[in-house]
Amino acid sequence: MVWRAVLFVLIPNHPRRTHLELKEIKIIIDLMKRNDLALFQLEREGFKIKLQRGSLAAPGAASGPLTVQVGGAALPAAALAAGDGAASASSSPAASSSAPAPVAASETEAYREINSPMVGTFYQSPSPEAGPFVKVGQEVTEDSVVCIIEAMKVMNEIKAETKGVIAEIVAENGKPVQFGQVLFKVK
Amino acid sequence: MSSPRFDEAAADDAPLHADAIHARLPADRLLGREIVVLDETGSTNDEIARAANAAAPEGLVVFAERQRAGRGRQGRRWESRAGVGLWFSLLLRPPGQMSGWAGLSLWAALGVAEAAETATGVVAEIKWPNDVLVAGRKVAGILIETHAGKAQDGAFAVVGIGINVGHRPDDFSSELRDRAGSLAQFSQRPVNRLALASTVLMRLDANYRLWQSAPTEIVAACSRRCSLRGRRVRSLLPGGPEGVATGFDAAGQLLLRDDAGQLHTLASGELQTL
Repeated sequence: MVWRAVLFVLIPNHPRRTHLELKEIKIIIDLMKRNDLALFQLEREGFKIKLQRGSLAAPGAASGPLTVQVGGAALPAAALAAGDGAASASSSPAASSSAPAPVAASETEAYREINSPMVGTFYQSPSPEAGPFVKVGQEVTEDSVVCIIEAMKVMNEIKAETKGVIAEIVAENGKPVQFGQVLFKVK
Repeated sequence: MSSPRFDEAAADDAPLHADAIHARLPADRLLGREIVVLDETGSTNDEIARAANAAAPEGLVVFAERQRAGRGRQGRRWESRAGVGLWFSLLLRPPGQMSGWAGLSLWAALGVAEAAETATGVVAEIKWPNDVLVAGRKVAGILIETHAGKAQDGAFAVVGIGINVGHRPDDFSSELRDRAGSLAQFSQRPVNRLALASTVLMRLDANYRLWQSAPTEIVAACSRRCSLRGRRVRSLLPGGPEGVATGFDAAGQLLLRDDAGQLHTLASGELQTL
């Protein structure tokens, strides 16, 4: 369900370089805008950057993985696996905010995650008076509705898309969530 | 389809008839290919969701003269008495991923605003993202709910629209009276519900094609009707920004400039006008 486009950019650099110049970040943002990409992630030893933007209007927006190589070979896909959290940047404080620190690899193996397919506000229940769609310890199947995410007043019913028991409700009721943010952990 | 002639000057609360609405719509329409008018139901959004789960095609429209449990966002009650308004829902099966459907809010508000102007002569504004205002009062509310659906039919969106047509000020509860209004209150001529119903379906149908081919044109048309531009607003999300609304971005998200000059993009949440 989640559309995700990942842009690989080879930054001309020193292998040990641990930062990007503002100018370089701007170039990446421009590339993302021009190619309608929602997520950019780059990871090096001791360095990590993630740029993410909400793209909401176009129904036919990029729906499959897209690889763009600039100036050389693409980074290996393994570089995109979650590591322990280093610096995380965002394209602008307004359009998106920093992604939550990724969990350690050993922990991700034990849980599956339900991620937000969009930018919006997370709601655990259909109305403030109603009970939550799911509670910790509750069994879910692929078709179980687990929450609503509101984006521009469109109330989107989100399904678990996985089977198991809710281990943790990570997102907070009534608070904004970003594209790809972990909402629930399922075991 | 044969249909009886309905007099334009019919009393405003004359019951709606599906045949009469059909007769006024163009033959090549997508929205409103099938129209159902119910005397009463719980909520027209629930009717559409049920039909969609039973493989109903895109474009189905259900009107109800009265809703027992009409609702707005977050389960808020929506007053929907018989004869004074248009309470209806549409079934859409838009292309692409659900994450790209947020623009439907602007699309729906634009169709209602354009139809209200054409059918009643009022000037209609859009309060981001989907309230329709006349003279600063809310005359229409929109509730869009998306569902993942069953695998074989795929995801769908239910677009619920409530338009206040014939209300007098004392028809609204005291807490709503300052903020809510009806088209008849601001129109110089009698408002015919049948004419309004068919006009709004025609505008929604034409704009639905435009939204799919050129979504930024919908955003631009809404931006021209933006009631918040230049107004000071506050996002009611926890820690949400406060500032002056400057317009929409290309995706239709609201842009706010705070007192420090920083630009914020709002994708969701309630707004308070200051």
